[in-house]
Amino acid sequence: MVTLVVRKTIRAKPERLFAAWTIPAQLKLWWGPQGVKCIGAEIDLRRGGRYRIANQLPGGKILWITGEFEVIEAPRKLVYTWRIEPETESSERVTVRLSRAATTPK
Amino acid sequence: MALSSEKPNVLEGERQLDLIFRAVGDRTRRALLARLADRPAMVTELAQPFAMSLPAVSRHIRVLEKAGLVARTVDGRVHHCSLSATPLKDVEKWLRQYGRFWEGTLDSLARYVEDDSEKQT
Repeated sequence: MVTLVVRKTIRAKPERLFAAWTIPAQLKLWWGPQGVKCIGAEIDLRRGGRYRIANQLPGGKILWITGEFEVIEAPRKLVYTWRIEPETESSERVTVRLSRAATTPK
Repeated sequence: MALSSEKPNVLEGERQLDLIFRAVGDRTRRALLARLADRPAMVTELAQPFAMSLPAVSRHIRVLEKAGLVARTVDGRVHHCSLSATPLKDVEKWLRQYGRFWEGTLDSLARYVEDDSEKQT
């Protein structure tokens, strides 16, 4: 197992970030790195519930990210499986942790 | 990660990554790789430092071979193993792509929430 950890300090309350991450109408407004457009999101936020997110790449190609929620502890923690369709068959696991930063961002 | 449109053989690549991650997810196999990074060795030599039977070590080497991390050449009854590091470059590429994806995504999230908190104040 290999785990990639990415951290970022964001000036917002955990509740605000948790909502942005789990409410489709909000997720669609920001999801993805620059150049990737989120053109659809369905989220069944409960343990065992599924989600899918449509990512439109710069060339127009659409990739779906799908998975299942395993842990939901609003507004601090989310764990879900992650699979990119139609590209991969094995699924990965994403853990989102929202914790108070030691320092205030500039 | 596969969020790149110019990679035609993504599925094959992902399968290979699974094999590599599985291969390096074991302490014995990592020790074998570290030993081979030094110089090529015979299977019997590789087995020596481990409290393990020759067939057991051989099984670990087969996992590494399947992942493309170790090349084995047979000379009569002697099996020589050497490290082949190219697949590890694929791992590095995967981490870089995924890292870039998540960093970009978190930047987008920051822009989104920090923007609207400014509007509210």
